[in-house]
Amino acid sequence: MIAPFNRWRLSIGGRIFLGFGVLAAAFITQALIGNMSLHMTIDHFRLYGSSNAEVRTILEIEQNLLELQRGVLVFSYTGYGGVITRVKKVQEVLARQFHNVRLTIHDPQRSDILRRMNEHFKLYSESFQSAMEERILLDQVTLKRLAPLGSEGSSMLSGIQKSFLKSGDLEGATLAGSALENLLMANLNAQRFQHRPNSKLVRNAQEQLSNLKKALERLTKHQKMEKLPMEMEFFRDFSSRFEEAFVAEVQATRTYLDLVYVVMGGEAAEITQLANELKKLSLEKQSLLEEQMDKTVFLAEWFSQIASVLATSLGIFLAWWITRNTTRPIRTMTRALTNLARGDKNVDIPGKGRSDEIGAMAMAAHIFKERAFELENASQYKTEFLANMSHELRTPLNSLLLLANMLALNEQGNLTDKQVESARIIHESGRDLLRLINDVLDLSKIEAGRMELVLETRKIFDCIHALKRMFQTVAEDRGIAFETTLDSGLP
Amino acid sequence: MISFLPYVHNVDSFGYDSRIVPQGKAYETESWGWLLDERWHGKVAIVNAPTIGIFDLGLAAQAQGFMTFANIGAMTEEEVDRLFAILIEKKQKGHFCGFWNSVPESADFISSGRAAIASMFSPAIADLNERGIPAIYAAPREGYRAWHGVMCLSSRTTGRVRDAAYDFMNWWLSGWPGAFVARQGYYISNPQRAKKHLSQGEWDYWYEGKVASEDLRGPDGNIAVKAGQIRNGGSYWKRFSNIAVWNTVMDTYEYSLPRWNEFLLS
Repeated sequence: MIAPFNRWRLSIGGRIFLGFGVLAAAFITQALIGNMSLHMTIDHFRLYGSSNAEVRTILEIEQNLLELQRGVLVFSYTGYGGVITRVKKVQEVLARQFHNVRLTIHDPQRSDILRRMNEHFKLYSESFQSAMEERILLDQVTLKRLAPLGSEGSSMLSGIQKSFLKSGDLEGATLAGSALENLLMANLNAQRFQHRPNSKLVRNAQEQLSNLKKALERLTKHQKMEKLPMEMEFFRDFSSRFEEAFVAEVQATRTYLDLVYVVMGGEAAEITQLANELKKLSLEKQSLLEEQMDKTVFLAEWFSQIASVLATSLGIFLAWWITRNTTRPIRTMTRALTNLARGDKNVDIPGKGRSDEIGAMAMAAHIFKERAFELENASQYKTEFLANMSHELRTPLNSLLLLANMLALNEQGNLTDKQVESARIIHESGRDLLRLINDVLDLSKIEAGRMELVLETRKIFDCIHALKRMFQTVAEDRGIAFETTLDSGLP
Repeated sequence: MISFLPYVHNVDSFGYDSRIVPQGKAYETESWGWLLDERWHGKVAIVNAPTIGIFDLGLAAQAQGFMTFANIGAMTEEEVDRLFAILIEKKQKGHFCGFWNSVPESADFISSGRAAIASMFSPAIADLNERGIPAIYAAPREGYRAWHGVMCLSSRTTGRVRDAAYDFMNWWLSGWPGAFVARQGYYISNPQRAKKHLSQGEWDYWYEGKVASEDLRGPDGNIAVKAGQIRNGGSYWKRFSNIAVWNTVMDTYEYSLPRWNEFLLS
């Protein structure tokens, strides 16, 4: 029976190919997963590295911002010019760092923070520039206007007072002393304001300057002052000049303090807040990356293990499957064919229902089995035929042999030698024919495995003689030379 | 002797996003103390102007019962120190989300969600309302922080510059600018002229504290007040009858500056 064609059933070769293909695919998949996870890990490491560099830069920015604030604080208290150089250097470093970090960070949230940080940093830098200018202005007002006015005015008033005292002008001395007292008090409050600014000091100083103005008016109206025209000229608008310088000092101080403590402080607070936010986001990003890396490694490990287990299981399954579906049927087939070869007619050929190579082999064996039966039958008929034929041949041949022998014996003596020889040849040829017929019969024995070989010693001379006798006459009749030669060395 | 020209004035308080901070009742539950309330930890923004912020925070500290002032309009150095000690502690714990430097920035603090409550100026609230954000300008039970803007002319100004300066001052009092600032929630010192440039509905809403009879437009022309709304805090007179402190530059102003800086950077 031939199995129906099933397009879903593959041949053994196909199945083995498919099996090993799947196995190879599993191993390739495993290798690919390994490769992919390696690539992903490398990518993650690269990202982690750049993220780490970003965090480092952000921390450096934070550090430099602190350094900047420290420098500004020192400058705000001391006004020392050397600090300016240091602060400007830190500003340059920060500007560069902002620029560089903005080139590396591209996500919108952090980019926006950096943009805002940069804007506030610019405002901070501009404010510092303004603060420096205000400080210079303040120092100029304090040191070059207010202080000389105070010392010059007090020194001059003191001189006037002494001069009046010396001349015995007590009224003039009292007027000069009153002006001096107000000037010294105003100057003291101005100095106090420089040291520790307070609006009360400003009010007090302005009140004292107002008193100074009145005292100077009284002094300049004093009769004896006419003798001091230079002093008169100096004190003519002295209180206004002093007040102007003092107000300029107050305004410069307030502007300077507002710039340093409020404007720059506000920008610094915002920058610090943004830097903290940026740091937080960057660290969060880094943590996320770490989590992703852990996850990737875990997944790669998991996939690799699963692929290994699958490949191993598939290998074991394939081995079992090949054994079950191929090796075992082949062994069964081998046994069946052996039995068939041994002549077991009842042997059953396995696997005839299969559509694969084993099925084809089974079908071939089945056909072989059928042919073997046919051949066996043919051999039997041949044997029977030969048996009959030998009987039919031997009967007349025996008569022929008997008659030829009688002629060869020439008991009557009426035959010529040639005739006798011919009769002998007939007899011997007849015997050879009989032997041949027997040999044909022996073939049956050989086929049946019953032939027995008889090993004996014969003289080579007898063999040659027999051949000569058998073939020489025939050869001569056909004009063919027939010669026999024996080596002299033969035994 | 007139040394300055009074013009724009108002009473200030704080603004809050009613989507986050539950709406309070004017003069009853709304309080400066909300600025230091733990419920709004991390969501409080303050103006970066010590002459203003110090009063907002002083009123808040007083409302919370953290401290009292003999005269909040003239804080002593000790009071300033005590106030900043409280504020710095709060700041270090993350109570404040930032300090704003301009009115648009204060509005952005609220609109972006960075702050839920902030010391604010009236135009920022108008701006937020125009953007559809339900921000409320509180009417604190402790009273407002009031201020009055003035224009000064330098005695040294002469000739065309002085004429131009007078023109500018006259323009401010011409009515139109008064109406403009009224729509921001401010008041002008000569409201009679401003009234001519305001609809009856606008006058009733902004000055009289009445329900808006129609949709009212803000300074930039967008609808800022929907018909039926009423201004928190009531009329001009009601508002100016509830003043906790007048904005002043205190004697301790300069003293407070380094403290303010310390507060900012703490």
